[in-house]
Parts: sequence; structure tokens; C-alpha cells
Amino acid sequence: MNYVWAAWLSCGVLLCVYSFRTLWRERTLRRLLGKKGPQWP
Amino acid sequence: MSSSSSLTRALGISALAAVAVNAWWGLSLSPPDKVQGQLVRILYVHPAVATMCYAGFGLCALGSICWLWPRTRSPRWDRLAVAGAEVGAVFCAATLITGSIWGKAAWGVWWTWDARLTLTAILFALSLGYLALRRAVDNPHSRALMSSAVALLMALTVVLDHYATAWFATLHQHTTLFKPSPSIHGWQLVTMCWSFVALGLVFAWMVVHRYRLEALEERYESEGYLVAIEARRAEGQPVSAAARPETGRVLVGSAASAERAEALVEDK
Repeated sequence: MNYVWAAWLSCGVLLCVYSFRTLWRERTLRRLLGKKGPQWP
Repeated sequence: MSSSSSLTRALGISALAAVAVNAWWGLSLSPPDKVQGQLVRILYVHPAVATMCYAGFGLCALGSICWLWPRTRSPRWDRLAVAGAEVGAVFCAATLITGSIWGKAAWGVWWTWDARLTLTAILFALSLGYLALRRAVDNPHSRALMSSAVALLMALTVVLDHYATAWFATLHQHTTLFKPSPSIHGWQLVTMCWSFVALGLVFAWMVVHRYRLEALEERYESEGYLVAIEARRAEGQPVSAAARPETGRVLVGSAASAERAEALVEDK
């Protein structure tokens, strides 16, 4: 069962880290570009 | 400032809920396999992330072909290509990690030079090369053109990788799900199918956000320097030589450099 937890956790951590990194980059750029930045639907 | 919209918020919440259900079914509700025992629970993640890896590189190839085709050429396709490639690379890494863990438990080794495994590793290396190439070339047209060539090579590798278990003698098992009579049944079949839905929603959410990020980076490349100058003027200070970039891309090529630009603006 340790292998099962290792597989699920490693996959989860990788996807979470990438998601937060992408969100952080997006927020940084939107803050810099201000209100003139693209408005998403 | 929020980076989400009502669309991505709904998509993100749906993805989180679907992943939670997948974890509940996969780790608790679904019974152990008669042959693999508890190890079957790894297969409620691994095939789905591998499929999303293929989907990412497939999107990358689609975006590249549409960009290469003169009638459909648009920066939007190039953005879709890079979004697909980067998200595909993340899912490819997850595929290699989960597959390696399953291999250690089932075969007794972390890695073997099996055709499927080797081609997946080559695919991962190609995706890293694709992303490195995009960072290395400044001219947007040249960048899109060169990366499109790599994208087509990745698409070819995806096809080879997918059919590797049929075309070569491999340790990796053959198709379980996508055939007339699947090899699994009952809760195991339901859970595995659900894992594709859950990871598919996660994939869609990631691609949408990565596409938006690419659009913002492009805009910052063209306007970021002006934004910095405007901020300086608002403070009533001249732009110092230290703050002036040699080229626009050096200062504003990425979110990291965007942070540096912001720091320069805020530095009084």
C-alpha cells in the first residue's frame, strides 16, 4: 500500500505545484498590467 | 487581483470535486484486484495522466499545424501550442513517476529499457527541449516556426508511444480500457473511467490558465517597458540607466523578470 500512497501523493504534489506556480505567474502579470489587462469572460 | 473568471472557477471547483471522488473510489471504495492486489489503485491515476500527457502534446501539434497553415495562422494557435506542451510535459513527468513506482512494486525495478517506457522518456525530453527552445528564441515568428517543428516530432513520438505495446515486444501491458471488451469490470471499470473524467477536468483547467498566462506574457513583452516608464513618471523620477533594459525581452521576458521590473519601479 506504500507504493500506492507514493504514486498518488507524488502525482498530486506535482500537479498542485504546477497549478500554483501558473496561478502565481498569472497574478503577477495581471497586477503589473493593471486594469488595462485582458478581462476574461 | 484575481486570476480566475467564473468559467475557470467553475471548472476548477468541478475538477477538485472530481479528483476528490476519484481518490475516495480509487483508494477506498474500489476492491483490490485478484492478481495485482492493492497495486491496482495506482492504475486509477497512471493511465489517466498518461492520456492527458498525450492530449497535451496533441493540442500542441494541433496549435502548431494551425499556426503553420497560412490561412489559419494566428498567435492564438501558438499560445495553444505552448499551453498544451507545458501542461503535457507536467503530465508526462507524472506518468513517468507513477509508472516507475508501479514498475518497482510489480516488476521489482524502477526502470527498464522497455519500448513504451523509453519512448515516454524521449517524449518528456522532447517536451523539455520544446520549452527550452521557446525561451531561447526572441523573435516571435522564428520561435513559433522552430517550436512547431519540434511539436510535430513530439506528435510522431506520441503515435509511436501509443502503439509501442502492439508493435514491439514490451513488458508494459497492452490496452486495458479502449477495446471492445475491457479487461476490468465493475467498480474497477467505473473508477478507472472516472479517473479520466477527473484528470481531464484538471487538464482543461491547467490549459486554460496556461493559455491566459501566455497571452499576458506576450502583452507584457510588448507593453511591460512602457508600464514601467509610466510608473516612473508617475513618481516624478527619471528612468535610470540601470533600469533601462538592453532589449525589451531581457527585462520583461517572463513573470520572474516581471517581478524584477516591478522591483525596479518600486525602488525609490
